[in-house]
Formats: sequence, C-alpha cells, structure tokens
Amino acid sequence: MSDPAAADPSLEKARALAAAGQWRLTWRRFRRHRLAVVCGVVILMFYSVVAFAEFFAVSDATRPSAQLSLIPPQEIHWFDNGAWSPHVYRVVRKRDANMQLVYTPDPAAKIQVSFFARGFEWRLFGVFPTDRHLIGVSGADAGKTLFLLGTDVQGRDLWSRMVFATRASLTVGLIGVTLSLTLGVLLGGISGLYGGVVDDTIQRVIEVVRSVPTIPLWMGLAAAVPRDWSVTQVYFAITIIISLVSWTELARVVRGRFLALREEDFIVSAELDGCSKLRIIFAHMVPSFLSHIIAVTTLTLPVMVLSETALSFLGLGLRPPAISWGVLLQAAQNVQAVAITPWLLFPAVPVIVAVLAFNFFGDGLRDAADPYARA
Amino acid sequence: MHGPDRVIPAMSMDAERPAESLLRVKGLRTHIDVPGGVLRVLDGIDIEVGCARTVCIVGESGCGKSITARSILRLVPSPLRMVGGEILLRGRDGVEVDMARLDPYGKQMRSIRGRDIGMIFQEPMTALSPVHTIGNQMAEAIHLHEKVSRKEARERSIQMLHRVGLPKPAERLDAYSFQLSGGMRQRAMIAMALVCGPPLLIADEPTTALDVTTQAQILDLMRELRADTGMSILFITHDLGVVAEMADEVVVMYLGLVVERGPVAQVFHDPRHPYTRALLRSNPRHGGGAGRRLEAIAGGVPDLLNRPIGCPFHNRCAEAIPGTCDRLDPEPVALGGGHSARCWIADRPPALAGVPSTAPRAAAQIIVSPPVSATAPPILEIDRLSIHFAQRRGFLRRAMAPVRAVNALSLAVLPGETLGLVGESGCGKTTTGRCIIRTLDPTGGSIRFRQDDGSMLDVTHLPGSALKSYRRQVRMIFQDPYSSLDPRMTVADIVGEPLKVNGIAKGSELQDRVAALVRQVGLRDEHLRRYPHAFSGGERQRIGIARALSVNPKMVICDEAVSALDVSVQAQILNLLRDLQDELGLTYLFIAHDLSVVRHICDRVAVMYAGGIVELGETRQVFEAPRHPYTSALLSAAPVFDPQERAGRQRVILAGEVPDPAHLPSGCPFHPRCQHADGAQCTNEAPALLPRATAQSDGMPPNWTACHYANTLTLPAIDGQPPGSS
Repeated sequence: MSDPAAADPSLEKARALAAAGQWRLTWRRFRRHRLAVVCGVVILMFYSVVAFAEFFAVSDATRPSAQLSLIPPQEIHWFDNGAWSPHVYRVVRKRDANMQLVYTPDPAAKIQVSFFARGFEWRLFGVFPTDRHLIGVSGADAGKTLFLLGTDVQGRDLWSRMVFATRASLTVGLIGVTLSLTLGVLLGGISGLYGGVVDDTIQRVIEVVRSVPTIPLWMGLAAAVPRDWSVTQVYFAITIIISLVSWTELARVVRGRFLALREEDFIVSAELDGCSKLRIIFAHMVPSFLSHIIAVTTLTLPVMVLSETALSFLGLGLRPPAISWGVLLQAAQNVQAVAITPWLLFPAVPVIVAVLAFNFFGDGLRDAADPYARA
Repeated sequence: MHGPDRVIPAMSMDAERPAESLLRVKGLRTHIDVPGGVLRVLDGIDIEVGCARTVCIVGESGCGKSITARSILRLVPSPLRMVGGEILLRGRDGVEVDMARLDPYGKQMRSIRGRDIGMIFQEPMTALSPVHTIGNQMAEAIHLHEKVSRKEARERSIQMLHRVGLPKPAERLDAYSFQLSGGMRQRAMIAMALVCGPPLLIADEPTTALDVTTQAQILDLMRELRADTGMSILFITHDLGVVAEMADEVVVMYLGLVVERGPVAQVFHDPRHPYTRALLRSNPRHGGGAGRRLEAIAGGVPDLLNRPIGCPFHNRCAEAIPGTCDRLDPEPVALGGGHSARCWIADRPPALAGVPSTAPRAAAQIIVSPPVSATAPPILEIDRLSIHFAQRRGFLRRAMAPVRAVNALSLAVLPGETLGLVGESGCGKTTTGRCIIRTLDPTGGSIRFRQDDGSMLDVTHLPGSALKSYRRQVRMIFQDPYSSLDPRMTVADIVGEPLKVNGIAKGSELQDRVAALVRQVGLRDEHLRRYPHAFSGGERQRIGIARALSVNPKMVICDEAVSALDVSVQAQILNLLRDLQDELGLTYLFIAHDLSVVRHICDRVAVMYAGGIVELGETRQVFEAPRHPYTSALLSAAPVFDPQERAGRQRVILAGEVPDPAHLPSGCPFHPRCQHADGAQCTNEAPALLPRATAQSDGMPPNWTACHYANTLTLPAIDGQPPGSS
C-alpha cells in the first residue's frame, strides 16, 4: 500500500464525508428512510395544491346550482374507438318511480376532456391573470360539466371544493404550528435556561393546559368567536385556539434539550472558552437541537390538521362559506349520506393521506435529526 | 528456532492436550453485511479452554473480543451473523457438542446457557433486571435448568450469595439491583452465573466498570471460586494488568484475528507478535517510573471497512517487511509449548528487544524532566476548600443531609509540575477540578491563582469578566473525547473558538494560529475543515488539547484525559502532554483514577479519599513508601503487570465500600475500613494533613499524610518492592 489512496474512489468518498456538516449528514441518513422520502414527496404535492389551488380546480367551488345536486363521480374514458380521446358522458337527470333523482350517463353524448384547458379566470399568486386549469372540458358551455368526484347537495363540484379545502386545512396547520413553535421555543427555552422558580411556574402552567380536556376547551373558545366575524377572522381565531394548546408539547421538548445540553461537556467547554451566554445559546445549543425542533414540528402538523378537521366537523371551527376538509365532511355526517351518496366521504381520504404522510415524514426526520447519535 | 517451512496452523495444538479441553473453538467466523460487501468482524478465531484453566482474551476496543464471547454463546445480535466454524463444548457426560450447529434459540442451546456456561457482563446494573429481586432472578436461573422446590432454590441462592461474599445474604436475596453498590451487584451477578454450577464461566470485562479496590476484591473472588469449583474461565478484558493477574493462557486479538496465543508467562516475557510487544510496551504500568517516554503504537485500530491488505497490523507495525507484510496475510506459527503467533517474523528473535520482565529500562529512554523547584511559590493555592451540595427531597422539599463532596481540602500546585489527583470514584477529585475552574462554586475556603506580576488573584468568588480572563490562564481537558467537542463545528472552528470569543485573533491571523496549534498536537492541515465525527478517540483528544492550549494557558486541568482511550492511544496522548509541557512550561493538574498513568506522568501525587487529601508527596515516594493505609491499600489493589509476581504477593484487600458523602464517618473518614484503626482516636478525631518523615524517606521531602499513626505503621508499597530499588 504505497499510495494508491489518491485514486481510490472509496477514500475520496470518506474524505467528503469527513468534511460533511450536520445538514449533509442528516440528509444522508434521511435518504435511507425510503418511506419518509416518499411521504416527503406526497407532502410537497399537497402543498403545491395549496399554492395553485385554482389551477387544480375544475370549476368555481362556491357557485351553487340546484340542477346539479348530488351527481355521482363521472368516469373518464381515455380512449374512443382505440384512439386517445379522453371524454366523459353527459349525465341525464331523471326522477325514478320513487320520485328520487337519478343521474344516468348517456354514452351517446361525449364531452371532451382536455388538460391545460381554459376555464374560469384566476390570478396566479394573486397577480397574473390566467384561465388555465390542469383539467377541464373543451369549450365553455353550461351543459358541459366535469365532476370527477361528483357534486354536493347544492350542486357544487366536490373535486374543486376539496382542492380549496386543502388550501384552508393545510395552511391552518402551518400558521398554527408557527404560532405554537414561537410560543413553545420561547417558553421552553426560558424554562430550561433559567430553571428555578421560572421553570417551575412554566411547567405548572403547561400541566394545567394539558390537563384541560381539549374538545370542551375548543368548544368554549369557539363559542366565544363572534358570529358576525368574517371568514378570515374566524380562520385566524381557530388557528390561535388550536396553537394555544399544542405549544406545550414543543415547550417540553425544547426545555428537555436545553437541560440535557447544559450538562454536555462541549457546552461546559464553550463556557470555559469564554463564550457569552448568548453565544452559547445561539452558536452551540440552538444548532444542536434545531433539527429536533424541525422534526417535532413536522409531527405537530398532523395534530393541527386533525384538530381543525375535528372542530369544523363539529361545527365549531370554520363555517361555510369557508371550505375545509372538516367543513366538507360535515356534509357526510348522517347515515343517509354514507348509504346513498358515498362520494361525499371522499374528503376523508386526503385527511388520512396527509396525516400519515406527515407522521412518516416526521419520523424519518426525527431519526435523521441527530446524525451524531452513537448507535 | 523454526524455519519458515515450519509454518503450521495453530490448530495442531489441539493434539497436544485433547482430553482436558472443555471448550474448543475452531475457525469461528462472524460477519456483518454492509452495503457493497461484508465486514469480517471475526475472521477465523481458534480458542481452546482447558479444564480448570483461565483463558484471557485481550485486545483494544473494536478487535472483536465481546463478539467472540457472544458468538460462543450463540447470542450475536443482528445484523451480525455467525457464518462458520465449530464451537465444541464438552458436556457433563464427556461428549462434545458442536454448538455452532444448534439452533441459537432452540431448547438445547438454552439448556447449555446458564447450566453449562455461566456469563457475567461488564455493567451489572444493566445486566440485572431492575424490577425483579436478586432472589427472583437467581431462582429463575435454577428453575430453568433443574426441577427443585422453591424453598430449595431459595436456600441454594442464599448459599451462593454467601459464597460470593455478599454480607447478609438472606436479606440481600430480597433486594433489587439498584439497592446494591457496584461491587455487590457484580458479586450478585457472579452468584447468579454460578448458581447452577457451570463448568465454564464467560466473563466479559467484569471489572472494567469498577474501582480498583473493588476490582481487586472481584478478581480475588473469581480466583477463589475457580480453585474451589474447578471451573474454567474465559475472561475478556482490555487490561493487560488484569491478564497478568488472572490468566493461565492469553489470546491476543487484533481486528477479528487471534494474533498471538500462549501461556501467560511466555506471552508476557517472550512476546512474538509485534502487536503484543507494542501493547505491553505502551502500557505505563510496565516497569514504569516517571520520566520515561512511552512507546506508543502509531495510529489507531483501523475501521473494519479499511482493513489493511496483508497482515492487518502491518500499517502500524514498526517491524513490517515491505513486500511481504503488506501483501500476504501470515498463518499462525507454532512456537512450542502452546505458544503461537500470526506473524511473518514470529520465529525470529525480535529486532527490538522484547519486554524484559524485571530488568531496568534502557537509560536512553529516560528523559530527565526539569526539576520542579521546591522553592518556587505555588501557582495555585487551595485553602480549606469545601464543596457541599444541598439535597432536597419530596414534595415539600425538605432539606436532607448535604452531600459533602469536598471537605476542607488544602493543596498547593507548583509552577511547571504535574500534580496528580488520584482516588476512587466519588472521592471528589472531579468536583475539585470543576471548582478550580469555577464551573462549580465552593461552599467554603478559598482558591488563589498567581498572576504574572506575582500577586495572588482570589478566584473563589470571581465575577464574570475577571473570571473570563482567569479562564484563559487555567484551561481544562475533558475525559470524554466524544461529548467534549461540538459535533456541529469543524476542527478549525473548535480550536479557534477561544481565540475568537476572547478577541485575541481574527481573519488570517486566526487561521494561521489555529493551523499552528493543530500541527503542534500532531494533526495535519487537511484535518482543519473536517468535523469531529471523522476522527478517532485519540485524535479527538488531540483536538481538545489544541483547544485548551489555544489561549496560551499557564495551567491545564486534565480531568481523566486519557481514561477513555485504548492503551496504545493513551500512550500517544501521554507523550504529547509531556512534550507540550516541556515546550510550553505548562503546569498540569492531572485528575485520574488509573494509578499507573499517574505514576508515569506525575511529579507529585495527592491521594484523595472522601473529599479530602489523605496523602501528598513526590510520586516515587508515595508509590514506594506510602504512609497512609488507604494509599497502601489502593496501590496493592492495582494489578501487577508481571504474571510471575502474582503468586508471592501480599495484598491489602480493603473491605467495604467508599462512604456515602452525605453520611461521612466521624473522625478519620477511612477508619471503618482501616485495618490499623485504634477505635478511639481514629473514630473521634480527624487527622490533619502533616508532613511525616520516616527513616525510609531517602533524602526526599517527606510525604504529607492525614493519619494519626503515619509515623509508626509499616505499610507495603506497590509491587512489594522495598523503597528505592527501581
């Protein structure tokens, strides 16, 4: 072994690894967690729906139409006589012998479906006007409709409503997490850093908050939201209510990390090096638990999403005309809906998928968060 | 002796004593699958354990010692897997069973574990279940293998606990593991392993977590039990001193291979593998006096991923033959008498002189350290320092007896010296160090540090900004090289941090100084932009030293700075510390529990017990003519490095445990354990630390001793040597 080292690719790799910082090591470990990576992609897709909801929507989700009430999902036929020609059949509305509304597809009347079709006008990022949509029917015509997931009682397209609901439900989560993150890191940090009476007080407050049953608390707080508030105001009130409870978890994590780190030799040695208290916190302690915070945050998001859904489902959260997953599921509250119009249950699917994706993603992040953990 | 054509597999030694072997392991291979290949954790291990013999497996960490034990027991944790070899155990009926062919979790294997092979582990706290009493766990072990009544199982357990020397065994039977001290736990663990009377005991580092006096008790106990029962012991350790104390035969492992094996005397006095020789020489205990430079092995144990081609040791070997050792893996060479070594030059007399057992060291290796001027005023003066921790318990925070970690400790550190602070765990040595650097505040007494202008700075209650400048003059090196470096900073940032935050250097000047520091501790410039995770323990400790030295301190507190390191790396770091002291005129306060390290590096030694100093003096004087019964007991508990000396040696075995610092005994804190206590003055009056001259002093300044009878007692010294003979 004279010196073939220079050309050895495995040694080159080891050298690169030796100079790899925390984030690169975290990324390396995260990548090995296949399921988490897949879930990360799913979450990205969800948030692209949030950002470009109008693009993914087929039609205006708020305009009711009594003529189109409770249409079942329409199936897309991709080929016409062996040729690529995506289309749906026009539905014909009839009343059967029991005077029940029945929609039957009419194979003779084909409605062409196209991608990047023109539809209602919207503004990209609220600025650039456009009328392009991911999918739509060719030619604007009142009779030509496309209901991928059917319609609700008031004849509104469920697919489009779900797209807009995603925007509301997933941003409630984001805003709520930001709020509880701020509260949690601040109070948890103070608690862990100063200890003593301050720590005791904050910890007792956390215990009290955590011991209050959440649903009655939400009910009380939601009841306090004035009825005449606008949709936006209610929306912010709900995010604040949710984050008021969920900051406690984060505060405890942050406090625990502070307490554990305070005893670490490298923190003691930073103190001996002459670092100021601020420098110890921000240059040594925060970087070493930042990754944990990120992981915990990802795990808090699904709690937020579920809370919002639960609240709205109970009629305590967002109220129509606002659209969220919970609001949509309200329509599926009775047995009749499940029996006759099962497609109204579709909004439960994104709830489950999003919550699972967040959980797996967070798990993967948490495992990768401390690349220095000695196994 | 033998020509190269006599290269024969070591397995032929089986033929020499076929009848008496209890366990024969042949070609044991355990691998681990990694992306893109296989790591050979064990690559063909041959071990033979004869009836009523003790075989020690020795090697540095990462050599596969523990995996060997686990493979024999068929308890390899996945992703490791045993891929080949034979493990032949002679059963009670005299028939050999190949355990390698049994289902690891099958009935037969389960009946072997516990009944035919007993096991003890390093950490008795985790090896014992905390939710079951000792008695329950012992009874379970009995019931698993024998049909006996509960009453009988209980009686046998009590007998066994009695036999391992646990006081009040009937009461201890109903105790939980956390209610026992470390030494008692290990005794209970041994009792549990032996309760079914297994003919073979596998002990994996059973004394590593224990203090030296407790270790001596446990080793004595194991020797006694072996003599009584005629069992065999497979003893795994990293400590060559323990090997010399215990072994009949030694197996030296390196990177999953047995590199040398043989009777203990032969391996110690005529080692034929360069690794064995290097291990022996790098140990500070070996013939060691202060002032000698240790012969360290270059580098560290390589990662299995980077296993060298050819002989796995060639890249660290001083005697490697280019073209042979780096190409071809040698086979074991039998050297007669059951001695064999896996080396191309095993059958030649070693080029570097072997390790003579008692001959004095070559004169060329002695470095005369600059004499510490006894007249120079001390650089640090500690006067009656006390550190007590208030304890509060329960909901109402009732005050309990405070933990008196340090009690009225007085000590002066002279400039340019290395003062050792030595004692067992819990004696307050680390607390004292932390208090000197003021991460702990003293309860009473004072600490004063000499400034450049000769004035004394009182650091006892120094406020913030002044403390910052004091901490530039007194620095600290930590024990654990893994937790003491911020894993999120590069080496350059870590070493440069003190310079940056103290505003000493910035920009290119900072870079230059950091690079110079890193070179000074034996690292290279290319290491600067790497993160700590890329370094081994020894290299990390070098980074820690560079950080400590970056602000040109006058004094460095080394808190167990080498005790987490393997012996070959430890020698490198000790040499580095000594070189840096000579170069920079540093003063060291060297806190350690390892007597051999202290003896090697320190000019003076202070022995601590229960928060106070019991003896203080020149290193040689303390080690060769101790005046305090505790010092003497501590010294005689340390394993002797020479296997031939163990037979005739008299040791003071200390009974009992280190006292609870919340409830210290009255009078002399050592009196409950002291053989010489008089029952009156010792119980009532705490002795002062005073210089007590004796006839043996040999012209050296007398030891300061805190014992009423220091002038009259005759105490044995280390190695049982008469003072001044080495």
